[in-house]
This record gives sequence, C-alpha cells and structure tokens, in this order.
Amino acid sequence: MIALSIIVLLISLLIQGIMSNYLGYTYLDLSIFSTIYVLIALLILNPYFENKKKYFLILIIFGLIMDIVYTNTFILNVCLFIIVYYFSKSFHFFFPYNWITISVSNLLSIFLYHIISFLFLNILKYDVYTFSNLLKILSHSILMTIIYTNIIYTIVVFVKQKFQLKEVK
Amino acid sequence: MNRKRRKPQKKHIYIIVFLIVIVVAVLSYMIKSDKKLNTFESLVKDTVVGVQKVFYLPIKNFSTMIDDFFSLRDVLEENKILKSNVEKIESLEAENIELKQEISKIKEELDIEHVLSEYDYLNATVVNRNSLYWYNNLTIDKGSHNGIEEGMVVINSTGLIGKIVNVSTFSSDVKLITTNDTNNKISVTITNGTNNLTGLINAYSYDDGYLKVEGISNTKTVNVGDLVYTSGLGGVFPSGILIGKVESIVTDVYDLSKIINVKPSANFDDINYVTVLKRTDQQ
Repeated sequence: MIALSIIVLLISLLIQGIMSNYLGYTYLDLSIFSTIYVLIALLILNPYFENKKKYFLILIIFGLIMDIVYTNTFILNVCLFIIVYYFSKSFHFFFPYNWITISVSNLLSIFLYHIISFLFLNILKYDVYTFSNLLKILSHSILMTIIYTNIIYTIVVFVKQKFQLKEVK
Repeated sequence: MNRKRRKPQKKHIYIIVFLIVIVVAVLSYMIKSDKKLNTFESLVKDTVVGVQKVFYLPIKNFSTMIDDFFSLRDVLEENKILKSNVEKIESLEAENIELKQEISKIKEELDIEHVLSEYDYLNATVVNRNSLYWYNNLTIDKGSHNGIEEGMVVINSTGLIGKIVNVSTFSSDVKLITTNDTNNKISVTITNGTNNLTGLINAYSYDDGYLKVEGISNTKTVNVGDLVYTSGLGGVFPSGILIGKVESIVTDVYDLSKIINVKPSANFDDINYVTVLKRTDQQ
C-alpha cells in the first residue's frame, strides 16, 4: 500500500504542474482545471494508513516538495496540509468514508486551504487579492476537485482490492 | 477499510493553533522578501522540473496540434497581412542597420560602453505555473547552467512578462509584472510618438486586469491608446520593451497626479514560451 501511495502522490505532483500550466490556462482562458492535486491524493490515502507517523512523514515530505517546486515558500504548505488533514479527519468522524463524503470533504478541504491563505494574506498585506478573486478561485476548483477525487478514489480502491494490499502499519 | 473512529482531541486544537502561528510567521516573511533556494531545494526543484519536462512533451505536442488546427481557419487572412508586412521588412532592416551605426557612433563620441536598450536573448519554455493565485510565478526550463541570473528580464512575443527571481542549475522562477509586490515596481515611459512621460507601475488590479501607473503630474497630457514601454531607469529592465496600452486615466484622491490604467500587451493566462533578456551592461 505504501508503494501505491507514493506512486499516486508522485503522479499527482506531476499533474499539478501539467494542469496549472497547460490545460488550466491555454484553452479559453479558463482555469477550471486548477486544484491542489497532491492534497486531494493525500486526503484520499489517509484512511489506508494505520500508522499515522508514516502518513505524517509522507504529508510533510510532499508538503515540502510543494513548497519548493510550486510556491517557493518554506513549510507553508506543510502547515496548511496538516491543518486541512485535521479538518478532514474531524469531518469523517461524523461521516463514513465513501465516494460521496470523500468528494464533499475534499472539496471543503480545498476551500479551507484557499480561505486560510486568503485570510492571512489579507491580514498581513492589504489588497493582495479581493474577495471576488477568492470566490473565482473556489468556484474554478470545484469541478476538478470532484473529478480528481473520484478518479483517485476509484483507482486506490480497485488496486487495493485487486492486489489485496494491506493498510500501512 | 478497518477504521477506528476517535473523537478529535484537545491537543489537535493546540496543534492547529500552533500551525496557524507558523503560517502567519512564514507568510509575513515571504511577503517582505523573495526566498532564495538553497542547494538541496535547487536539487529537488531541478529533479521535479526535469521529470515534468519528459511528461510534458506529449501533452505539449498535442496542445500545439489542437492550436494549429484551430488557427487554420485564419490562415488566409493572416497570409495577406504577412505578405504586406514582408514588403516593409527590407526598409525596416535598412533603417535598423542605420540606427545601429548611429548608436555606435554616438557611443564612441560620448565614450559610453553600453546603452539601456542593448541586450542578449535566451529562449525558454514554461514548465509549470504556480497554482496559487497570488504568487504570480512561472518556472522556466533554463537555469544558471544556461547563463540565467537573478534580475534578468523576461518577455514573450507580445511584451514584458516579468523578471527572474530565483535560479537553480536547470530551472528558474519568473515573477510576473502582475504581482502586487512592493519590491517589483517598474519605471515606464508613456509615449504618444512626440512626448515621453516617465511613471512607475505601482500595482495590478485583478478585477479589471490593468496595471496601475502612477507618478505622472496632473498637468501632463496622456491619451487613451498611448503606448507604455520600460524606461530602462532603475537598472533592472532594459528600455523600450512594450508593456501595454493606456486604457483609461483617473486622478488620485488629492487631484495632484494621474493614475493610468494600462492594459498589458501580454496575455498572462497563456504563456508557454518566453525569452530571457540580459542587459549587456550587466556583463
């Protein structure tokens, strides 16, 4: 299961770049393909890790890679990923894991990620971008978040059952 | 899935509060200064960018194929325009040679080593664009190995794009001119063919997509449609690079100076190839 998780996360990392650059901006100036693919994959893989230390290690590594490659920041994405992870965990305390609840929780998690960033950026620096821009970012990330969540969820469930993979201990 | 449901603990709330404090600290630092990559970070970035380039290749080819297909319907009209432009090229080339000779004579007479409009070119491909809205960064596939240095100017076929802010061995980050960064002000010249006025790009409005040029007195005349170029002042951008066109003019709250809304000539939503310029006086 750990190998599958790493493969899924590496593919998500590559898709993050491909979608942000080509499909997201090239056609009709629409950015409906932009979402945080790595975060979506991390949240889907969460229930397959019994050993939460290993999960956190993977979450920190991929958060750092996101920081270095995509945002040129330091541990910002790591912190945001952990906050979103706790949110997702709390959500699934009330709702079981299935494709509908995972779609909803991932969508809310992506929203939370953007809203936290928006709030802090606007507290620290006036007029970085407006509330209407935030709404645009949120609305444009809905479609791809739901699609990618379902694709990854289906692949993970299928591969796990097909090869009878055990949860990460 | 064998899941154990545990009630969220109080310590999780402390962890979240702690993380929020870190996020605030990191963001406040990041806003004030551009973070430079260390050796390890450069290595990670170069590795990911290298792998991405391999994966991009078929997607890029497919994307180009689709673009070519859709542009076919405009070929006839474009061909007519190009034919008329080709006829002008010879006279422009002759004029260009004459101007170059004049510049070199003036340089000799005034004992100047370099002028602000001289630069070398280096073409690059955009390998990824930041998914987060406000950072306004692109990553290109050329780095220090190719002679890229921090502060170099980046353009595309339509105009100014930004400048290099971070360089690793095989890739570099470009900060777009659309960023609302106080360290990213650009000195510009607004020209209507006869008069030149110098101002400063102070901000970018995401709502209307205009660059805001300030620092021009209310007594000066600026017309809608005037072209905006880099002035070359400030030592970063070479002079004469097209930025955009004046779209509208408003006065500031004190009625003393103009705020000029400039529509950028470059389309920042569609940047695949760029050219890095190196001012020859930087050598």
